[in-house]
Amino acid sequence: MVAYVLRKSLLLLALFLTASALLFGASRLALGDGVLLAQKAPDPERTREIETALGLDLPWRTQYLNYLGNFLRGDWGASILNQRPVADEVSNRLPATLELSLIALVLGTLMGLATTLLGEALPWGWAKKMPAVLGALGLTVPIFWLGLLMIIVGAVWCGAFPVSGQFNFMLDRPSGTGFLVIDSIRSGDGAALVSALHHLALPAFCLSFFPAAVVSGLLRARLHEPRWQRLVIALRAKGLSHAAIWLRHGLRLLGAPLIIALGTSFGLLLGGSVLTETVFAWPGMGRYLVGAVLDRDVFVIQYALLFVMFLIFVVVWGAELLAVALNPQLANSEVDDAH
Amino acid sequence: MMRINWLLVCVALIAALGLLWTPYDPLAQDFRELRLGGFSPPHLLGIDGLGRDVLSRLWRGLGNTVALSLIALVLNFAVASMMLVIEEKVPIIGRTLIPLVAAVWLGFPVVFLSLILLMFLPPAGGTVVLAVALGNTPVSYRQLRVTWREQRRMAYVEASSALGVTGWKLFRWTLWPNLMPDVVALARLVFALSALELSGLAFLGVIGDPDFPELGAMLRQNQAYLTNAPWLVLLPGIILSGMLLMVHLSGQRK
Repeated sequence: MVAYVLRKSLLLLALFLTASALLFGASRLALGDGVLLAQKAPDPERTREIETALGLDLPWRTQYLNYLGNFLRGDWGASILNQRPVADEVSNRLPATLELSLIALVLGTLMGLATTLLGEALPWGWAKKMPAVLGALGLTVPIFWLGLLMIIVGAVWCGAFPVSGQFNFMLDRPSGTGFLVIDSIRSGDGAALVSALHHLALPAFCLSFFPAAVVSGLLRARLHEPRWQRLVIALRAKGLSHAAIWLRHGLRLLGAPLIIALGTSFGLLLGGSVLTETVFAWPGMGRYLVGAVLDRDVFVIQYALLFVMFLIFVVVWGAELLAVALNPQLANSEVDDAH
Repeated sequence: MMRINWLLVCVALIAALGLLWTPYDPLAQDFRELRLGGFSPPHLLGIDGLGRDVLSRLWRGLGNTVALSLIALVLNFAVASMMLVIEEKVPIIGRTLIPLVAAVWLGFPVVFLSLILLMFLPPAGGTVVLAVALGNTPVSYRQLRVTWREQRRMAYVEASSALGVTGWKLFRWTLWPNLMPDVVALARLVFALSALELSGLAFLGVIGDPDFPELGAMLRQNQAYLTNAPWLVLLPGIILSGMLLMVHLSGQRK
């Protein structure tokens, strides 16, 4: 068990270092002779000066180590275009993205569980088809178009929801953690909470289709495995009730792979939230990243993207640990059953 | 006897026609018709905000989306099979490293991969195709690996190789007929993912030319007319979803 956890952790750490090295390489490739090109009249003296100031004259290995060190210390430098500190910008935007993604994750997981389990439990044909429909929807309807469709129907035609944004700017924005929903609850501001949830409804629903498809696809595959069905028959024969089977065995056996799959799909959810943020003008990380890339703002990208990568790795790592805590058998299996 | 998949042929023909011929030039502006809407004979689906024929743009856009997704699919399969070959030939790194890399890679979204590539490549169709192809490589790698490992150990393969069939012949005539159904199903899936992600990236505006007739890029341009002319936003999505639905249905067993 300990060996398994240690091995997984070390491998993930090694992969993170590799990924950061690749990102570093990409950023240096992007920079190229940028310092030389940025000057109107290239002056070797001035070029050397700027390169020394930015630490670009050091050997590559030192530069990479500095990069990692600065990242860990939170010293992320500033944008080359508007001089705004990257760390501030990220900490301003991250809560909005996390709030959207996490609520979509919870909503989607519930949706996936509900459709699949109802499909198993209900006797009607259409209920059984629901998970397949959900899966097909995920493979045919682009998420950004779904968002636009929701805006047209929910906001423009019915007028029931706001078209875009995160908050009603007429109200006072509660401060604190940066997570709007949490802040409004903490400050006891009912109107702010309603406004936050009102703005959140469409984008979160739009984004939740993705985790819903992941959950229902995985769960359906597992439930139809002969192994699981034989287990249920054996447990029923032992005299266990359906509830006991689900709580004692189902949660362990189905929960572990589900958690790993959700951990893996967290990164994809962040990717999807880039699109959703663009559609709903949500003030999150996604638009910041895309804008910085289109502006070729290397100094923003190298840290902001590394931070997103770091987040993805931490979540994948956490999901692996949680899964093995839930089902310690995973540590003994030769093949990586969960993947 | 091979059955012809008419649904797929239809999609391919319509998309190919869009690349070769459209009623109007998808980039040409008609200044006499500077008015949104007007579903009338000269412009069957009206014109967009810049006076361009919507039908032509949709048609060419469908062709471009399908063509770029197909290129991404081919590239994707090439890289994934290369990874499998390395795993077979160099077991030491292959067995441990490649599956793990694929596991983490799988959780790394295409959008972020394309952002990394866009740091040093120009925002253009080629970059987007490369990002989409590489981003979905772990999906196809893992599925190909499962199929390959399952079939390779079967008794019929052993029988053939005991009879002296080796190398390419063994692959082509013994293994391939059994691998093919899974590979085709996978190709459908990867094609759908590629088309969705490609149009998503075009929607973000990282494809370079904003006027390039591609369904996602059209959505981006037409988003401004959401209230005045919602069909400009609805149509590209309907076309894309409809195409993907036909591809999806063509894979369903009767």
